[in-house]
Amino acid sequence: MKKSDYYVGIEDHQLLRRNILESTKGTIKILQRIELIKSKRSQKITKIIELKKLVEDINYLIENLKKELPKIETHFQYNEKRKTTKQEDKHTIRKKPISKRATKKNTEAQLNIHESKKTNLNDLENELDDIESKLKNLGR
Amino acid sequence: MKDVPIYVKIDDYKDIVDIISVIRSKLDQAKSTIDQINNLKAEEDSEIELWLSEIEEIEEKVETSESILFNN
Repeated sequence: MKKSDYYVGIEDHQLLRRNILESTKGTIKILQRIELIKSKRSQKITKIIELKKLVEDINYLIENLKKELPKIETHFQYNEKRKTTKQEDKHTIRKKPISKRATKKNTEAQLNIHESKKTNLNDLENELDDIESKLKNLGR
Repeated sequence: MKDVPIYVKIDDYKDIVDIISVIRSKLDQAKSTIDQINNLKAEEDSEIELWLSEIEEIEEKVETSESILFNN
């Protein structure tokens, strides 16, 4: 005896078909959005790298600025030095050679050639601690 | 010693003014870059919101399809 095949009737198959097609359309739209987000993230990363370079430049400029200013010891540093055996001049003024004088043009040119320091979190942490202790000394 | 004023040569002073001017310009550029990063981040966030709503729409359609298939 021949085995009979069973079938399941689908009512409203048109709606089913439509749902499947619209679901496919939705998934394709999401895939397109994913590509868009990938592109936006890539732009964002480029901007973050740009920002990092700017902040490194600012950091470098501030260091240059410190070099331009005369080095004057704070009251605390002066007292600390008196306690040590080494004797230095009280007011040490760094003389900058005229050939390396900082001008706006030179500063900007230097920015283009200076290699950005490889900053890692530990180095930054150490720099911050150093600055904090200098700020504390100024406060005394 | 704390209150003793310090003096710098006028040439050095000009250099200092120049450096500060370059720093100001860099700071402006940095602020503009941060704005751009913020905008990109906002666009990214709104795209992700759209993903969620589209996934929910697909979910509804799949549920409807399930009910058509399994209620027969």
